[in-house]
Amino acid sequence: MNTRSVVISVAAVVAACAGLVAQGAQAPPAPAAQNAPMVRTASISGRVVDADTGEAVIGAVVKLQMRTLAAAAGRGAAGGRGALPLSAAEQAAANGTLFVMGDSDGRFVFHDLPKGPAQLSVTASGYVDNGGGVLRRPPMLDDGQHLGGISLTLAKVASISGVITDEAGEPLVGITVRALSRMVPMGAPTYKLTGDARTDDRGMYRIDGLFPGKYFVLVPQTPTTVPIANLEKNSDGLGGLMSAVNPFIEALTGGAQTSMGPTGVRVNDQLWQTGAGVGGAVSSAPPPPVNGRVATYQTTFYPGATQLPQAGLITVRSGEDRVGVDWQVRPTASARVAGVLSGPDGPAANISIRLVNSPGTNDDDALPVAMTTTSGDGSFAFMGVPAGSYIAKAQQTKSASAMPAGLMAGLPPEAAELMAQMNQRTAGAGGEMNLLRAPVSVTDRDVVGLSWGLRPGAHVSGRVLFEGAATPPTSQQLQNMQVSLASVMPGSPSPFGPSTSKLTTDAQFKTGSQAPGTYFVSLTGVPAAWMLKSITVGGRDVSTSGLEIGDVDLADAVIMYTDRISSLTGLVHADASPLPNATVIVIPSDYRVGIATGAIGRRQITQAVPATGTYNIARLPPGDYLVAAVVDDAMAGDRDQNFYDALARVAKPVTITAGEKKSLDLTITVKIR
Amino acid sequence: MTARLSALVIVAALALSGVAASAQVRDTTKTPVGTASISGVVVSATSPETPVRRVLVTLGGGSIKVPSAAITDDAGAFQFVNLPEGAYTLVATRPAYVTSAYGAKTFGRGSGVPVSVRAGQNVTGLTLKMLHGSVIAGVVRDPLGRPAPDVEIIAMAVQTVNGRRRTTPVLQQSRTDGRGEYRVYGLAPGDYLIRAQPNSRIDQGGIRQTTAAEVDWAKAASAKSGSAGVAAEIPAPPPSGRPVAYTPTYYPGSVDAAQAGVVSLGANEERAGIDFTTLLVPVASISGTVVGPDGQPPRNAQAQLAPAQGSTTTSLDMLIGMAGAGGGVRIGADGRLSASGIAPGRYRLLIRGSLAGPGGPAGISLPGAAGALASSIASSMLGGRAGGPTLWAAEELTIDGHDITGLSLQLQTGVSVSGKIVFEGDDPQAPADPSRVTVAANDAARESRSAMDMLAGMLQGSGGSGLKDGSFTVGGLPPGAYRLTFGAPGTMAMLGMTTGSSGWVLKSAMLGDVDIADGLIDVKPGQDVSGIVATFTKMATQISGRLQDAAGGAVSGFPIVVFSTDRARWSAGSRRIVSAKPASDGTYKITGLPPGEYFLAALTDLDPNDLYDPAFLEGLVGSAFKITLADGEKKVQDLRMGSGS
Repeated sequence: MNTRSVVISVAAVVAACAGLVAQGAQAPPAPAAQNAPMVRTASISGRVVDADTGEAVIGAVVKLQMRTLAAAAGRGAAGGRGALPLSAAEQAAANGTLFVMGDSDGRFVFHDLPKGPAQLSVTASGYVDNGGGVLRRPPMLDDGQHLGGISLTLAKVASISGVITDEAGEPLVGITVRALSRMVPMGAPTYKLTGDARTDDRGMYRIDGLFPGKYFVLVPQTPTTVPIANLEKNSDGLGGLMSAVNPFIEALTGGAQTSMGPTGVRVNDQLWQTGAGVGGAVSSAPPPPVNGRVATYQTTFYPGATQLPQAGLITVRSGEDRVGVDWQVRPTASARVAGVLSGPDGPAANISIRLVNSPGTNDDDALPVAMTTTSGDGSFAFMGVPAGSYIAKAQQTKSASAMPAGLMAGLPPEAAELMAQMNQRTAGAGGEMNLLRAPVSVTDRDVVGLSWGLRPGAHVSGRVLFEGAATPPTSQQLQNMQVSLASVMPGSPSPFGPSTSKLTTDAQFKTGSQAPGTYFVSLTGVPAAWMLKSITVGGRDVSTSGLEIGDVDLADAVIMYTDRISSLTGLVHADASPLPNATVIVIPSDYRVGIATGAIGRRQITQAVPATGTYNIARLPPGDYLVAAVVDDAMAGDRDQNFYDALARVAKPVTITAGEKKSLDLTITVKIR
Repeated sequence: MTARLSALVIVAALALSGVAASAQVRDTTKTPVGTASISGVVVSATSPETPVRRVLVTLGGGSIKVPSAAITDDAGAFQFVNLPEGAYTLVATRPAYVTSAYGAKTFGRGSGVPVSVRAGQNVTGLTLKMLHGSVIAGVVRDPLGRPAPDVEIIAMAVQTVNGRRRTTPVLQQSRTDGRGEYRVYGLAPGDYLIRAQPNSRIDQGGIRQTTAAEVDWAKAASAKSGSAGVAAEIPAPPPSGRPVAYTPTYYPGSVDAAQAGVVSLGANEERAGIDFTTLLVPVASISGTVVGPDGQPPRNAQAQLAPAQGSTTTSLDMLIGMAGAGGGVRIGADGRLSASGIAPGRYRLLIRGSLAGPGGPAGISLPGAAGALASSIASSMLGGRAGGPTLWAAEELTIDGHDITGLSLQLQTGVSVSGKIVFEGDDPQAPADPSRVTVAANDAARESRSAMDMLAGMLQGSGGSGLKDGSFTVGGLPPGAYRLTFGAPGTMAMLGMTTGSSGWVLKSAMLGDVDIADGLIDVKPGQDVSGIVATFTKMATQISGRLQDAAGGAVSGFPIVVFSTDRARWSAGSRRIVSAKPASDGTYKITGLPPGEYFLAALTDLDPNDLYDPAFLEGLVGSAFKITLADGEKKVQDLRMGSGS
């Protein structure tokens, strides 16, 4: 246990507290018809099988979720044949969920169910859900019906294992190794930190539970620097509490040494530690100096690369155990990057700053190159920055801090960042923040005397127009609508979701300040009589490309709604019978516009084809589209430009005009590339 | 819910509540820069000794506020410079090694001997020995013989004190990988239990096992209705299988820590093959109703379901159990109570409620099991404040895999303990703030000797703080024996220890003629206890002196224990039992003891958990020295080690 992990959990508890508000607002389970006694005579049965071998998966736990079950239990389960014991009924009432464990042949049975859609999912040791058909198409149960022969398929998980050694060839013990999955779900490649593992006393790690796919494997390192003054100022705050808690921990652990002090080293007036940074609790000892210069470990990818383009991509199949993914982590000479950070109101104290790789390398906020916190006078210093080109990022929120400022100063930078982001989100609509985006280039010399400025983030303002004869929304309805800006990059950098801002009674809006980037704009709370027609900024349609926000305010956004609801429906045919599991996919004709940014993901519409074979896209704004029905398997894998180009070749073009109810039959394509 | 997580959450919750209680800013003077230095080398505890590189040596104490650290180089050398005069502790950590303090008698235990430096002094040539940790490794399987991945493995150190086995979870933990393999490393030599904590993502209601009869029935039903699902006359289904759940299991295969096998590790030993199977046990549910004293559903009630006192489960089970099972007890607005997925065992169901509307601390709910534990802590810490619980009901339950229905509990008015807080010799210019005094009533039945037990006792008790007018009330207590503690302003009191310092020490807590500050109070049904006067004073007593060898030279590293000569005061968390560690020049200082007669003894080593063990203290009496402290008296007492001790 070390300071950092405790601090993170402090932040987590605070976050959990902040989440209470949101929890309380959760909608109750959907109420069903209040009076009719619920009959519970439906049942469902099936088998859990290995997707590769077709053999039974023994001991899998099948979960059944039915909204109607919750409603039925809530009314005392009248009419059930084998009345469930009260407690189980109450259980179901709470969440509408039942669990069974399959038998030695993988078979499972649920009975005494009400009618309604039955959502099944399954978990089993060593397997992952491979997204089988039942999950995407919940079967409907009717009274007295038994639905048998359900096949739930699971794919065996893969693993990657190896040994991590340091520059002397000694095992690196207790460090975090992570897998970074590379996927192309929406045009542009995205990277997501998925599995992780710790090395043991032999330096061995094993990342388990991986979906079949492509991975980079890395040892994340984010050197963090905290001014000693901040920690000292806090000796009555967090730091003091740490030392206060220490004896208790010592007693709890039978007097074992559990030093909760910082695990970093002191360099002049800074405390410096290396470690896994964001999300990784373990700090490791920094390496000793190299040639008189402060040395650091930097994030290292298998087989020893420090940048993603040089890293080795490992493809694992279902059930594969990839062994021997070994590499060495070496210290590198580093520089100090120091200066002063100021905001519009003067020196910016207690602000977390991070250095991230310039875009085009491994642009990933989850893997900062270094982090620090400014002192009370706005001065900052990063220790251990390797040579390279970086962007410094910081944000300063104006909302009231959830924690005393003194306490904030003692937080490690990553926790401070989390708190700052949380403050930003909990500040509600129109949260204001000042941002830093500064390039910095480091060679073999210290970079000092920097003067960085926080500037207000850009705002987006505009109006919403409701075009048509339908009764326009009331001012009350307008006030319930929210404009939402979400980063188009999947895995939004903020864990607290998109920022939202309310409409005024005259349908105007102005967002809080935003970090530069590409955003997807949407409006929530609009009555069903209206359908989105277009979103333009400066007269340019941004609904496909996403809205690019830079340093300057954008003042002329127009979100246009129409009462002329257009739709697309039709029948899906197949050469084979029965109908294979298929998906209808609709993309804009100008799909290429959104590929580079990943915004295509927000404009493509997919719908699982139901057993009836009729698809129905009930709301499709006017425009030119490409429509295809493809088997689910063809949707798997990377969806890069090649995928969309291939899709475009087999798709049918269709033009939707305002208010048009278009019908278009499709034939399933089995292979698109 | 992992134990590790719960430990962290406990710390986090304490930290947060502590912040709220003491948001005063102290002086912010910088650490003085000094002229002394300390250097040395870290070597392996092997023969021959070899340097250990990359060891993090942490230096604390002295007048430095933030501990400093150094990394050993390839020759194992470390150095701290610019140190102000003072006494410093040095702790060496390196993953896979046993963390050791400089001068500690035993690897991995004890806080070592402080090193004293004067201005300008260079202490060189210190040698810290590090022991490579031992390893326990094995495979965990499920009852079907397949590897059980993602199972948390907790190693628990076992010590036998006076014939009683005491278990303490160690920080080194492991989690089984995809092959069911685990490896706990960095362990100090000693005896351990190994406990598998299955990852219970499904903690609600257990899982029903599919029966052969159900499968046969489903086959018949499928044949009748066809897979397309035409409704037809299908016979009634057979009963469902029993709900089951994976339960924490001790090596080599028991749910009971008392029957667990002990793994004895030597120094730097690797013990592989500690394989075992997690157990699938039938779980049961309980249900019933809770009503208030007026017979109506309580407006604000929360329940804890914890292993019963005296059951064979450990305090760890209790804490985890409270987080898991207790977190799952629901009380609806209509007073209906339910919980499910409860493993066999004896439990105590404790319900607390209030007459006040929602909005008190009882209304706080954090998601998940961790949240349940955190809110337990929060409510027990805040419980005595206005709006807190004042009603209670409790029932002992034995769960054996069969559901219990029709429980009927009526909340009764809890007993309250109240009084006033007095500051003796207070400065009228800057009066002390009684609202910063924390008051807690800890369930004495829960407390035994270990800190883990005491934490459990705290969670079963109730707490609060003083009010501005100096009054205090801790309410809602079920009848029983309680230990009342008073935390001085600006300090944190917990587990019988107090940290932080404000100059104020508790002088007495008088109930009539009896000082209850160290004793227990017996709370009887319907009889509120009032009129307690808790007096804080700045006239702190002090014992200081120097520990010397037979020749009069300074002796360090031997802990000193001071404890009351009155055996009735030897209770858990007593203020009259304290320990101190002399600095390397042999000097020690103990402040704030209540006036009275004490034994003073020097030991070779001390486990903090032993401190409140009467048998342990009794063993010290023979070699102890008697000393009497009057009100505010400051005594100097040098100690000379006997040649034989």
